[in-house]
Amino acid sequence: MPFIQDILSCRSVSLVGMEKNTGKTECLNYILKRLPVDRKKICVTSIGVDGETTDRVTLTPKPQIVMPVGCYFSTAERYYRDRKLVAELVDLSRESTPLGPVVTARSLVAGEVMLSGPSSAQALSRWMKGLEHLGIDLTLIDGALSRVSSASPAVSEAMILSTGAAVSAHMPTLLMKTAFQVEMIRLPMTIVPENEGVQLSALGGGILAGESLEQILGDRPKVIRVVGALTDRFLKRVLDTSAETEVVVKDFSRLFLSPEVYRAFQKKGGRITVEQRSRLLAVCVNPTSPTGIRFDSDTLCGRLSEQIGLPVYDIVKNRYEA
Amino acid sequence: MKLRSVLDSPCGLRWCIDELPLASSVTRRRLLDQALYTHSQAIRLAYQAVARYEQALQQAPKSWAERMHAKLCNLKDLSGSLERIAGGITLEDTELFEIKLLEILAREVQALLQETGLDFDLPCELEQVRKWLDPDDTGVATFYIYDSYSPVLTDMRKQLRAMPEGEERTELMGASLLEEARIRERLTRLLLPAVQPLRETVAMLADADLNLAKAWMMQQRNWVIPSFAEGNEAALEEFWHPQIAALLEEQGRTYQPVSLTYGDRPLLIIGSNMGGKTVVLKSLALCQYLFQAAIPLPVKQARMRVFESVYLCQGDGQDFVSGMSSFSAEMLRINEALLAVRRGEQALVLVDEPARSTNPVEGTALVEALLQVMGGLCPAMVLTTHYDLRSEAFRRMKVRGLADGKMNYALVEAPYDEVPHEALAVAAHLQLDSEWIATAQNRLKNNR
Repeated sequence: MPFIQDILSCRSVSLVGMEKNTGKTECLNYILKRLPVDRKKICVTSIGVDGETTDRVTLTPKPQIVMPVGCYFSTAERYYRDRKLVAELVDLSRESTPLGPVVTARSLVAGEVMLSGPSSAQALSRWMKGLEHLGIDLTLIDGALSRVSSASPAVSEAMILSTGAAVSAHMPTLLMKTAFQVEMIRLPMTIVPENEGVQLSALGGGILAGESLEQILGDRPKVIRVVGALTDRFLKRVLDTSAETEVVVKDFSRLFLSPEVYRAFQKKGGRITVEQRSRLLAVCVNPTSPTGIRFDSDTLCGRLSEQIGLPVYDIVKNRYEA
Repeated sequence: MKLRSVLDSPCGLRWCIDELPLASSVTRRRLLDQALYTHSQAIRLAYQAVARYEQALQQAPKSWAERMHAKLCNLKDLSGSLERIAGGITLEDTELFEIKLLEILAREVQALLQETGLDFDLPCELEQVRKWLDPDDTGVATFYIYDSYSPVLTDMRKQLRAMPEGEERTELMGASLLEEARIRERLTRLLLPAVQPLRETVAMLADADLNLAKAWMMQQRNWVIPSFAEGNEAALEEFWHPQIAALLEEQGRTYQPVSLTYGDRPLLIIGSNMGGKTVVLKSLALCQYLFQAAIPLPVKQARMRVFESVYLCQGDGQDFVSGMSSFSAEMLRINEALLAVRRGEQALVLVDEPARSTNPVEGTALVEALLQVMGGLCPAMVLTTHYDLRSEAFRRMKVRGLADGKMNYALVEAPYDEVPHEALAVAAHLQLDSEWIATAQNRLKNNR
């Protein structure tokens, strides 16, 4: 049972898919089936919408989320009404979604439910705090790369990344994109003391308006602390005006960079570091896509694992039964 | 008149209401929708309840108020669900859960109040609500359509637990969900007679929250419950405007409380600029609104009387939308008060420097006439002015004014022949252009 013990050592874990249909729900079901919900209080929610029967974009069938007996879950009131399980309401939160307030319940008879919980990192943090009175041991957050904030270390302690043929029909591109994402997640922590470096907002604080970094930094060490998101545009300005600069971001969820710009920045001796590092527990793959692409699972897992130096799992094919 | 309708009066009422440490938004809504009391007996009863809470605060350990506040934070507005029950619409599990939580909250608050000897008699129907929504008598704050509601449901769930995934299980799950829906319908019907008692329970909890907040203002901010005036004369001893006092405190300055009696005879307040006359009028209006909402007052002590309405005619009412000048807006507002007292309305009329934006000759005539006309109809009129008005038809008080470079805001009786001449002294105190001040002084000397 790969990575289940790792999950149990955390207080909160986020599942992030690089694209839709990368097998995130399968991965979640795999985890839910194997977690000791009879011994541990485990609560699951989603930052988006999960558990629909059909993909709204591709109109292909999707796996439903099966909530085992004893598992806690949080979802919008509207989806709670449509549940196909027996559950006991334990909390009605003040967090609201377009589908009503977020409710938390404990599954009494296993079945299916759609999940749609708090939709921002701040709301997730408030929701987690609000559940403290229930004594939850572990929260699982079904996230999305478009809302990667759920995987921010400020929200969840660790993460699982799912990738697959839906990311690219070209295996080398899929490998490159996934390896780059993993590299971003595993960026090193900064060792620069907190009071050192120039703090610049994501809007550039002058740097995007044409001011050179030398002018901004003066005699100070070449360290820029970016408040908010770090974008290609910002990083390009840094590499155009200065070499060997360290750019510090809060965590990987603030990065909106393309591999090309990042590599160019690296070539000029630049480095990006983080204040808080995420713990990547595992990478899961779905070698098929709704458009009919099918990679060989073992080849994909093997080549990706080699590139990123981490074990890679195909949950559906291998099942990894206990 | 609802408290909400005067919330944005320039007297600073909104600030004071925001200062009340209310635990629930239900309480705030209830307070704002409450009509201002116009009978002294109603105010007396409401203040008596506040006094009981204040006594409880004094006697109970500090944690008691914190526990009460934490509990009352969970008070929610159930009016939508209660309306649905009354309308015969079946409630969802979440709504039934909310009602169960309300019943639990009411009992918990009752127990806390009883710790301090405060009565909190819940409607007897609540006991029945508890039995319906907690059929297994667990006392736990969770809810679902319990097995014990129906043997059919118990049996279905038993089978579901043992059945592997598949079509048969899906069908049985569907049947069990239908049975749940039938039970929800039955529960909603059962709750119908409890709708009014549940509404009363929400109101009682909101009142507990409000009384606790009022008592807290007494204990922490030294606000007091006033006594009732025997006749027409009201008195405020050492009152302060809490919003302005807080602003001054932020700047490291202190507020000088002042005292005043008013209400039995028109009162004219004269005195130097920056002498706090406007603040006095704001404070009078504020205290009156707070009193008629049975909220303690920011005073050392007070003797208050009830009015049917309060008119605070103050400030620049220039209305760009209707194209009115500040003078027209002001005159119309004062006229509105005049019409009200002509109708026989028992009003407190507070007018701040009327006709100040027109020429002094006509201005003086307008204010003198106002005092004569309105003063005859409305003894509870307080007016501030810089105009030279010398009539014995009204009482005159003045701000003590600048002394040794410091403003003394105390109000003292003013002789009928005294007109304050302090504008130039105040201007000099403000360190304005010296030539300007000197020229003004010379002109004044030559005119005399």
